[in-house]
Amino acid sequence: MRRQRRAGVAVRLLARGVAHRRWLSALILLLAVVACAAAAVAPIYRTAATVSALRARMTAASPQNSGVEVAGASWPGDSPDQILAREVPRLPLSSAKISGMTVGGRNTQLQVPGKFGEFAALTWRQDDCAHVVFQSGRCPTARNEIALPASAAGVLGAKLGGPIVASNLDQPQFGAVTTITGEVVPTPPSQIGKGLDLNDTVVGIFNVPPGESTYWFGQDISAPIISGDGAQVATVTALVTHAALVALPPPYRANVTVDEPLDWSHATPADALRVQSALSHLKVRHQRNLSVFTQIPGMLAADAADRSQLSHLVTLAQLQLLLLVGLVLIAILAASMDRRRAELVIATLQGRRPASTAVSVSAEPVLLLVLGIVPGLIVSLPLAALASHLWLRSGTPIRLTVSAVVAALVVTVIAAAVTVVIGYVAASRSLTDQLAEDARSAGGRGGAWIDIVAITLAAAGLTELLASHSGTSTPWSLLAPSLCGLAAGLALGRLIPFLLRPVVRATARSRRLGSFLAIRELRRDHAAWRVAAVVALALTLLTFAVSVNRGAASDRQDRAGLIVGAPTVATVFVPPGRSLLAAVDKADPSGRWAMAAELLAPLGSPAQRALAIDTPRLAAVAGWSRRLDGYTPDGIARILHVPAAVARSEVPLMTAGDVEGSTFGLNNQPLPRARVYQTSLLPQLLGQGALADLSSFIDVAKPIPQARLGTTQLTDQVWIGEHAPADALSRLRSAGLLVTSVETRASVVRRLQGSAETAGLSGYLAVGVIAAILAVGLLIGTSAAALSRQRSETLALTLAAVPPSDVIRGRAAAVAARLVLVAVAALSCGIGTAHLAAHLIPQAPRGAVPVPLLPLPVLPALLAVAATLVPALLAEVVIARYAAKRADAASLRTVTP
Amino acid sequence: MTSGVEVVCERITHLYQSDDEQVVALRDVDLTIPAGSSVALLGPSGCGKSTLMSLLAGLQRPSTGRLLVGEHDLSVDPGAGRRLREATVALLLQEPSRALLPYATPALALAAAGDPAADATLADFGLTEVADRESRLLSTGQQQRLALAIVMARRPGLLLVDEPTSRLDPAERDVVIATLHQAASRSGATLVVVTHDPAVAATFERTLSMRDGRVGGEGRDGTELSVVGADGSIALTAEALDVLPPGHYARVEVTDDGILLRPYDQDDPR
Repeated sequence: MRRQRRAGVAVRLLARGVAHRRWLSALILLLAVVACAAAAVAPIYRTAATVSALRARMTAASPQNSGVEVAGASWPGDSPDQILAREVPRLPLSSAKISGMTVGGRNTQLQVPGKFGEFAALTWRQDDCAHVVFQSGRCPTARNEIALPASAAGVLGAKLGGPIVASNLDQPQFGAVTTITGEVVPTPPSQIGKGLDLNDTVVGIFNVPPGESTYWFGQDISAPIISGDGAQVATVTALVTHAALVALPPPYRANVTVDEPLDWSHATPADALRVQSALSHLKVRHQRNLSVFTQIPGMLAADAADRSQLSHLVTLAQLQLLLLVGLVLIAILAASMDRRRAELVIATLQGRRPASTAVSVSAEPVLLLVLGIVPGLIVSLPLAALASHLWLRSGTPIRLTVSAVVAALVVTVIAAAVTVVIGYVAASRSLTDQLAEDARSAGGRGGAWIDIVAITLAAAGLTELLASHSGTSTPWSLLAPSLCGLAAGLALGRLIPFLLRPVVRATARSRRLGSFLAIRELRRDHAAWRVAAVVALALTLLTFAVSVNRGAASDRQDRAGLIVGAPTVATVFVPPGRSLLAAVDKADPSGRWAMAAELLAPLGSPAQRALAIDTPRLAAVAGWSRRLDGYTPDGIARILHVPAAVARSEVPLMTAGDVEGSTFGLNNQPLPRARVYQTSLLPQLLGQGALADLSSFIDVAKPIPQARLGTTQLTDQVWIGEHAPADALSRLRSAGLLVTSVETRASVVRRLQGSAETAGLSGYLAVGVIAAILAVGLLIGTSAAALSRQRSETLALTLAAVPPSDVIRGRAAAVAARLVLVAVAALSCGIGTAHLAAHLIPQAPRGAVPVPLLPLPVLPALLAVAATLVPALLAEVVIARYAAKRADAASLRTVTP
Repeated sequence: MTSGVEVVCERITHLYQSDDEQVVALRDVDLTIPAGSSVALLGPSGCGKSTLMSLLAGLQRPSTGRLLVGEHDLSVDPGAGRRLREATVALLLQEPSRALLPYATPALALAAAGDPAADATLADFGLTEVADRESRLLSTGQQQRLALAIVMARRPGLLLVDEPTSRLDPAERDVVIATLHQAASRSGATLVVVTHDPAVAATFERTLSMRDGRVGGEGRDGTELSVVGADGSIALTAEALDVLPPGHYARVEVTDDGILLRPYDQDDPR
């Protein structure tokens, strides 16, 4: 009962205390909400940005890369369409649509002895004979029996009951292009040149009735099927028995290829993992009969690297924001403790232990901090949604995550612990200090320790910066700019009052009250200088963020130019019998804006290389910036601002190359050696600034091994330069080329804008803006508190017949002077440390975190100053006028009987 | 009823650091305040009254000497002062508002102080009418009485009061002093009050006058006495100082009745 009564009394006291200090309480609650929101918004944004980047990457990629291609056929007891229908739903992103099925074969040749052979697909499907009409003969039943389409029998010269030989024609130059629609199935190296030498008997000649095209995947297997982009391989289809087929090594069976484009527009990383798992399952379960071709694992691996970078950036931004919010919160909590002097004095007089006192005086702010959790989490959602709207793909889901809740709780616990520590420090002070009106005597020693710790941390961060020449900047070193801003601000705060001491004496001797008030205010208001340190940190962050984002925008243009290769790259199909070179020559006889090129995509590797054909045109069309001349690939990676995670394999710059012999057959067209270039000698070329004349480097070029071309897919391209006519694509079409797709630098820029790196950098910008807003709030709050403390002095001046206008002028001058000094100090620290860091942090090719290498970012700095300080100055003047009016009214009350 | 505690000071000297020099605040103070007695400390500003109060409250430890408050030896045990305040010593500050929660009403403040009979206490201290008014809105006299009521709720054995009437008009002063004496006598606490006001001092059975860090005189029942220090020194009364100003020589003669102190004139050494 007694305990309940005491608890009731404590609650009533708490409620009254909160009401009594309502503005301070509201401020603490507000900051608690901000702190929780700041803590929670980063995990939410990180999750959303991860989803956004994944979707951007996968939906921007070609279906070949972001989809699944399943090849296989004729497995026992099942049919490919059925098994795929069963397996496809296991892919969580599947739209359950099979875009197309193709039937193809390996490098098998059917030949009637003594006649010309043809490539063939040896095929078996469940009930296949029920889906053809035999003109003569029957369905094969024995392992050495075969049935041919009527047209194939005609081509081959085969007759019913006659012999036919199936043999292996694996040759390097034909190694990979196997399926009839040009799909690529690699030949396992172990099987090249092996297997297949069958002597069969033709037991049936058939046709496919029109109604059976569905069964045969939309293909007319009655006729030879022309496959390949340029190789134009004709393949005939032959039916064999299941026993015959399973006895063949997989490459020599017929293949059904299922292209399964996956719908990534609603994907999440968890879906991506399930896709990988499903693909693994598909491979393991049907290892014998299926080949699963997909670039998804590689794409997801690249995405994981992006996620890591994003996480790195967002975590750093969050840490810096929390550092700032934490400092502001500590300042307010310290001020709050200053308003609890009565509680502290009472506790000291009652002989309570400092720890017990700390807990009791901290109860109120801790309660407010706890109350801020839920609103903070709620506020974090629209903040994250706003950031998502500004910088991420539309439709990116914003959800409260467990990590966001944990982050908010951790921040609250830390803030509560800090509150108790502040309370303990206050409770441990002597009664004289506790009673002191001047708060300066209270915080001196503790403040000094904080300064020492901050400066030590900054020094450690700088040391890390200086030491990290390896290109692997540590998070610690990347926090250094902010820490430097903070430390410099703190040091300045210690130094300026000391320097102002003689000025105070000089103005005290003068009769200018305003000057005296201003200078004295500057010197004695230590709290204002600590605020300056926080503002320095905020401006550092803002300057840093703006500079980095500006740099990144420029960087994206350069990267896009390098990735695409030219301002516009058209992928074209060269009809049989036509020459890419001749077509380009026809479209651009002057050689000023178009160049033929081939894109080499080694099988099983996401890396691509570009081959320039007709390189004298290269300089006219290449899409790199001239300012990149003279840089090595490493150098390019260094000068590109982040996101500058430039993988060299993604930079299709061209270098001179050569092939063995005087000519090289590409798409069955011999090319002069001087016209074929490989991408691997970039350093030598760029180092000598010789982009305009690549042909002079032929002699040092590395040859392209012909064997490698056998496992490489080639894509015909036309690179179109900056000065191309508006109807360039029409001219290419007129020259006989079929333009299948066009990629431009702008489209790549858009893709890069959706990357995880960009999302991370945008997060930095948000942090910078929030930092500036907090700095403004802190300036206003501390100014109001300072003026509140000066009420008695203002009153005394008014009673001493000093005109209120003089008092206002003095105060305003002090405020203005302090703000200008704060601005100059903070800005110097901010810009200085950002640039110091910029010159110290080595730009790693991958994984580096951005540092601006721009010239002095005057404009963002000025904007930062304006955004931060102008509102604060206005607020100060308003508050000063209000305080002076109140003092005037108080003086009237005093002198009136 | 609480039993008061005895205070014993034996040759207490206390120094403190001021800028770059040590200042002697108290020197060789010998003093005994019996349990349950009431003492007023008088003296000009800077004479050491407040220092002595802070020593008695355990807020500081004497530089040398022995200080016993009840059974606690404050000169030896660093933690004794806090325990003493927790258990038996109460200190009332010159400005009562410093030790009052500005937002708490007298009723709530007494409840928070653990007073089981808050209503009766409010009546005893003349605060019933303002029981539900926030303490920041009370008059200084009311605040002083409230602060006194709060500390008395803890039933202290030693009540130390610093200048309780310095900001009060005579009427309120008399009320506060009367309340103070009543509270002390009701609880049996030892009462030590620092005051400048002779009218306040006159209400105490014993007064101690301090000068230059020493207890120079003592008043008992209206008679002003000089105190012989442990080193044999004696502080003259103000009246005697007119005859024998500081810096002059004195001849000391022991007579049958006591000691005779005569100014010594070098030109007339008789």
